[in-house]
Amino acid sequence: MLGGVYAISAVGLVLTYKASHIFNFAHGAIAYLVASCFYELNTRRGWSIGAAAVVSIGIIGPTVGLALWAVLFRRLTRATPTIKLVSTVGLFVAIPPATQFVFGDEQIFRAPGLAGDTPDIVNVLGTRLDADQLIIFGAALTVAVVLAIVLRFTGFGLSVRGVVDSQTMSELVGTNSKAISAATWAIGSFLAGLAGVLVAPIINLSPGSYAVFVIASFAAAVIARMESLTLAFGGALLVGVIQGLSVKFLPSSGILSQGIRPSIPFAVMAVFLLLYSNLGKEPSQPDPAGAAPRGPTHHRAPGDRPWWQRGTTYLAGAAILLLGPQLLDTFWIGIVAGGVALAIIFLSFTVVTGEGGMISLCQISFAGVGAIATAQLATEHGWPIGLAILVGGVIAMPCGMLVAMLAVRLGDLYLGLATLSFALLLDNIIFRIEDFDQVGAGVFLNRPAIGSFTFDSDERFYYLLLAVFAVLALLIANLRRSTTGLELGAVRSSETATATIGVSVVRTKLTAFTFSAFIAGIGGGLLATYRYLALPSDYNALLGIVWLAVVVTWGIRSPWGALVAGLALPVISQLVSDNLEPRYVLLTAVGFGLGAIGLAREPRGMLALQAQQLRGLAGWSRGRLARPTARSHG
Amino acid sequence: MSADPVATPAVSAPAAPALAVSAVTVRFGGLTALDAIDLDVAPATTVGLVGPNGAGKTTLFNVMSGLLAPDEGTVSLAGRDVNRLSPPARARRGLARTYQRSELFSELTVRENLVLAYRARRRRHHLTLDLLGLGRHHDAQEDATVDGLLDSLRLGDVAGQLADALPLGTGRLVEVGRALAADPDVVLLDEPSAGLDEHETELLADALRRARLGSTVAFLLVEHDVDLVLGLSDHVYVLDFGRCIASGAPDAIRSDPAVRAAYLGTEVES
Repeated sequence: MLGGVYAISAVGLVLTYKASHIFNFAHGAIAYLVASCFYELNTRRGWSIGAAAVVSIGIIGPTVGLALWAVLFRRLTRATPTIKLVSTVGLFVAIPPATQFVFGDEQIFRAPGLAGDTPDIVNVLGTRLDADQLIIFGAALTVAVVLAIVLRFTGFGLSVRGVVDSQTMSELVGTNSKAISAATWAIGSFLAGLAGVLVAPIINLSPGSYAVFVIASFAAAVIARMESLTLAFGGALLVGVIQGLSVKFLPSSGILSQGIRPSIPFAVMAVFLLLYSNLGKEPSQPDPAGAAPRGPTHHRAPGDRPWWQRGTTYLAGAAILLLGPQLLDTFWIGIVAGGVALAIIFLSFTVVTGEGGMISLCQISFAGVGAIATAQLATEHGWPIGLAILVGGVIAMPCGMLVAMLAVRLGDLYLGLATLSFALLLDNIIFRIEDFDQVGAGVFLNRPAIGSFTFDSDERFYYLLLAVFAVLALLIANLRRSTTGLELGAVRSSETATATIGVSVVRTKLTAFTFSAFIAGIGGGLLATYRYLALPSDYNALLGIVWLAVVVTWGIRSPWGALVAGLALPVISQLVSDNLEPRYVLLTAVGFGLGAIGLAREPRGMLALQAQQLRGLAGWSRGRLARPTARSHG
Repeated sequence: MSADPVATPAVSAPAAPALAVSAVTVRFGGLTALDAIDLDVAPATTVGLVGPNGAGKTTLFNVMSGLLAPDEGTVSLAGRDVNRLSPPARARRGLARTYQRSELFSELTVRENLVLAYRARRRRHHLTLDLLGLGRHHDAQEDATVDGLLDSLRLGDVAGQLADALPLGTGRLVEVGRALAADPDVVLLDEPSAGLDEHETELLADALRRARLGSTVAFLLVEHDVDLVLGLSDHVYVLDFGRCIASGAPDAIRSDPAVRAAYLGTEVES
């Protein structure tokens, strides 16, 4: 049943990947957008099913695809895999809240499909199917047949296949590759929208369930190695069938079925990723005849400013952080303290993505592991909190090492998908264990204390968190200057050359991953003690994707970026909800998504851009006011 | 700067070749890219490898450095079979190389490119020490080696710049510097002079000669600049369509009719 919808969605994904080498993380967001339109038109405004379907699936879907192509994807074709990934992650974060902002964000548990509110029941070969199910089968079959015919036998199909093989060559023989790739994005979004409307009667009409549903079709795209539409189609059906069988054969209650059934697609994805990585088959490489991918230009801030300027910045930052709370009331100190706890987790992105150059979507899971371990050790076994947090970090390390050992050999995109499936598996299985989750109540946690000196006041805890942040930031700064830091820079630049000067690429990446898991684990434990609660579902994979977007917005390369990102997330949300209507809170998420898209090319993030502008301004005024000096700005 | 010709090595004992390749065959599908290649590089010599485009030179380099596993044959370093060793393990046994298309560490400075190559072979480091900032002892020998190389390649002015925006010729010299910084026993040079102007080529040749002074480092040199190869090499192999069609002293190669027909004739005249 689900298999048919997975198939439609997976075919759309693979088609756009083939034509532009962009894996659209936001495929599910588009599905959600179109399904919401359909619901709005059909259910709320009372349009007929046909009219609503034509407008939402037939017009809005492709239009969204074309618009995204025009403003974003068109420019990304030759970017590095990391930039592509971060950009579509930004869309993933931005589109659903934007949709909710327009159509309202109340919970919709039951949305009708194309068969209307009360689908007829039909008997087919002795199986009872409702009309929705029949329509899904019909639609999947039609998509398969029509695409096969178009790609095989028409001029358009020939052009698409040409662009897939080599964009540059196709352009040389006169194909308009832009028009072709625009068309594939329109088709891809149309298919996403179709899948979105078809799946509406089966799952909740909510951003979360749509994201998870489409990630399940990522599994099919992985099976197809992003190449074969036939395999994508078959793989999707396979995932659907396995899921269907699990309903039959697993007991209907208990951890087994509740945890395992939803995670089947992610398990399938993980298995195929490992299989392909051991066979040494990477996803198809970008156009060999094309220009070399344009990477983000990493510049290192130290060195282009004299020491006293940097020193002043650090001192000013430290002064604000140390004295700032004196100006705030207790409520805001609490908010800011939570921000610092988040910032500590965000430092793990600074290490794994900023230094290691890897996109990891499971940092939040390491934080969850840290939180759970802290709660178990401290609350259930009576360990001192501080020790429990530290050990929580240590327990997260082997998790990080395990993921890294399985996944770092994969290319950038597959590494992202592997870490995502790891995070979702943890969400569905480990994080649901009764002892950890307490049926959604979580485990109570105290804050640490030194003798009779407790950190129960948010102000004291703020300073403790700040101290931990400073220590970890210092460790990262040391790392960057050390031989390991040089090795990481080398791996980011050229893996081949790194290997042939005698540095193991895998070991270097493993180091970064493991250290980042330690930081995330510590941060997760601290965040849980800040909240007095370790609730595993606070550390779910989808929130982790939002976190990545936030950190990218503010700067993935420096601890300052992590700090500002950590503070910005709760502070901006609080400011908006204090001063504006509640639904405007949705727009902050949209803002972070757009921020990630806009700044994907600038790894130093917003902070660096602003610093640059400030320096530019300062330089200008110096030039105006002071006599020009001979000192060079080398 | 001593000007003595280094073409006559003073090593008397016939030690195992620094690098040896025997019967290496590589097939890509139906195409035989390398066909039973045998090649020796003795310590303290420069061996040239010439051949038209597509002759298999870069493929052979990739087999030697461990990036590509041969279908048949063995690679050995100083008499030890390294077929099963990874590229980093081979590098730590003294094999270094440069690339035809720049593979510099663009996110590191020029100096850091060399420093890392130096440390990769010599210094054990540990993450915990690195995190605590204790991993950096001042190392006079490291500074001397790296700065000496930067100086001789005239890279002192760009030492502090990131290696991503260098002019082509400068980038080539950095590649060579990085290879030499590891104090290697064998260096594979993949068209090091491509894109260099005359002055830079002279610097390069000079740096290679100097590297050989008082050292047993050996070079295997792939070049299109035939005069450069024949001028620097003690021994030359000629590849064509994956086969070794001739080998011998530079003068013998220059007059070999098969070589002239396959390659040199057209090159020399053009």
